[in-house]
Amino acid sequence: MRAENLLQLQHRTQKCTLGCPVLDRCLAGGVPCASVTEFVGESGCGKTQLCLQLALSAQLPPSHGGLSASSIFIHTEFPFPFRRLRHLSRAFRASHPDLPCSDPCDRVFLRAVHSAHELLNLIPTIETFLLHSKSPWRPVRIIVIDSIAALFRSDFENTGSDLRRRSSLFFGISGGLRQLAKRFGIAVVVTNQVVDLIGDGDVSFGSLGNGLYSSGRRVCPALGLAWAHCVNSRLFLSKDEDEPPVKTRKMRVVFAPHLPHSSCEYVIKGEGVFGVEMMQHREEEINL
Amino acid sequence: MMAATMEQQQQRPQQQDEAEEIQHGPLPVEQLQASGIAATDVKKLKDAGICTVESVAYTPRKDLLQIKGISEAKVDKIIEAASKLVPMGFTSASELHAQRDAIIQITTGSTELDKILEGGVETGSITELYGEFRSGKTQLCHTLCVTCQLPLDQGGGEGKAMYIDAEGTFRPQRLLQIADRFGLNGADVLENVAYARAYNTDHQSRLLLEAASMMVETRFAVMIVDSATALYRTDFSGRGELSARQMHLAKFLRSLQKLADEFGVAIVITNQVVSQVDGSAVFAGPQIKPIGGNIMAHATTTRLALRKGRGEERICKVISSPCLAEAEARFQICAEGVSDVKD
Repeated sequence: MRAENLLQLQHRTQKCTLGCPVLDRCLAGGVPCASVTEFVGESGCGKTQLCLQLALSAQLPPSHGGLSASSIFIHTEFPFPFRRLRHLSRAFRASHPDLPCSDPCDRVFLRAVHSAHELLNLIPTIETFLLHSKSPWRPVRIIVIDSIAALFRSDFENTGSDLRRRSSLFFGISGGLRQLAKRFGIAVVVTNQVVDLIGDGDVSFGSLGNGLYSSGRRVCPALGLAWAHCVNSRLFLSKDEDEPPVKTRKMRVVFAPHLPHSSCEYVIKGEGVFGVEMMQHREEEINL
Repeated sequence: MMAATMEQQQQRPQQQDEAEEIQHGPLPVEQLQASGIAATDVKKLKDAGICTVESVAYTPRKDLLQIKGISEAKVDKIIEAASKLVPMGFTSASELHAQRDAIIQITTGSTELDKILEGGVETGSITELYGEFRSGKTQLCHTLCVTCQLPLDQGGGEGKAMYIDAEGTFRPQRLLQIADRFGLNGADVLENVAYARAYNTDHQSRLLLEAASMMVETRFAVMIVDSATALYRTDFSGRGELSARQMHLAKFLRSLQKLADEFGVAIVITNQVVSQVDGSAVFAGPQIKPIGGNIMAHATTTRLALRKGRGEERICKVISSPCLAEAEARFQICAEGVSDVKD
């Protein structure tokens, strides 16, 4: 295959809107299909809310940046935020009254997962569901796993054998997810947590953690280097300095094969997660 | 022959009645006996802290293999039986929401505080209270032990309370005072509170296994862990043990999450605070933050900060929650527990 053919293929890669044009601009159209995208951030940054919003936005037609598709939402933390989904669903419905589905929650399929092994064993079940589901609301083009970190941080010890088992599960799960993504054109989104970087005094850590800060503390994504290789794109969500009121948050592209380094600010409102336009303009002015 | 047939006929309607009764809520692990699992094996599962069919289905296979006396073949049989009883497919959010009972919320005793919580402390999730000493954490926990026993229409949970005490601050006489306010019988209120003192972090984790056993037998509406982090400060010390501490804490909180989800209990944990002594704090003045860092922050559903006000007044602020706005409320601590401020 020549590079020109690859270029044409890439142009055809679909993306799914996050429900806000400012956020979509930062991601060059939204979350890419046939790919695994990771949201990593501190508690309270809006990871879950972004995922809920994405699951709803997927139902939009392609002319509005959606995929005319349903979503599978796998949650590993409890309880699932039903109330918040209801809020967002009502706002979504009010913004798009002409959708074929009277209740957007009908097109969000939920499943609770309690352990990493269960998630690994679930992947064939997802494939069966994608192939043979009798639901009228097909196809499914979004899979969300919120949070992947919750499965691994509490079930493994810090011993050599456990770390090896953990890593093999990383690669087993991500391999399965990538296959599903490629085969069915699915945008897979996973969320990850952060850990603080603790150093001695002012010693510089160079590129370790890539200089990520949230709430004024230096952090890096949980699960380490092995997991970093399991995702195609990593988006870092952060809060400003820990001074009230904590209103504005920032999304930053840490790595992605199809995106330049970019960032934008956003706020969490009752109706959902929305980017802040002012900062975008300011950045454009600076770049000029 | 005749006797055996009659016995079988008698057993069948009983089983059907039991099945109908237990349709909602977790299935006791004894249900597996109807699928051919031996009673001795069921008892071994219970001794290992697995008391419901749901927890059998959710426990990793390797963990089941760790139970003494249960062979690999038996584990496979047990998993197969549990999987048939627990639906393991994908359900739409609409259907799941309709299936679930409406979320019960338990009043805190203060109308203003209930308002910012949109009804009270939410069952099925973990609510964290953090603040300095004397900010009202333990008083609020005592009040919840009483209010959870109220009828639903009065903002209660019609269930018992479980109190795991790591600091030795539980006072039954406070429950009697609070019970008087709500018109409840003092002796009954005390009878409905299961109390356990935790002495170290491993003991604290083991108490959750006993909690699961008790929650299968009777309805609990609230579970208190006061304080969730006090023992971690004494059991683990120094930077070298920080990683082990956080890992142990993560396991503990994960177990709490499973209890909350499985039994629909409102889990309330209190947390201590630590001063930030970084150089950057010099300019901003003294700041406090909860112990446990990111592990604690990610595990709790709702995070509330408590601080002192004037006199007996206290202030509660919603720090993070998936569906509550950031807001503050004033409340007061008096002989009758947590109540509204009287201006």
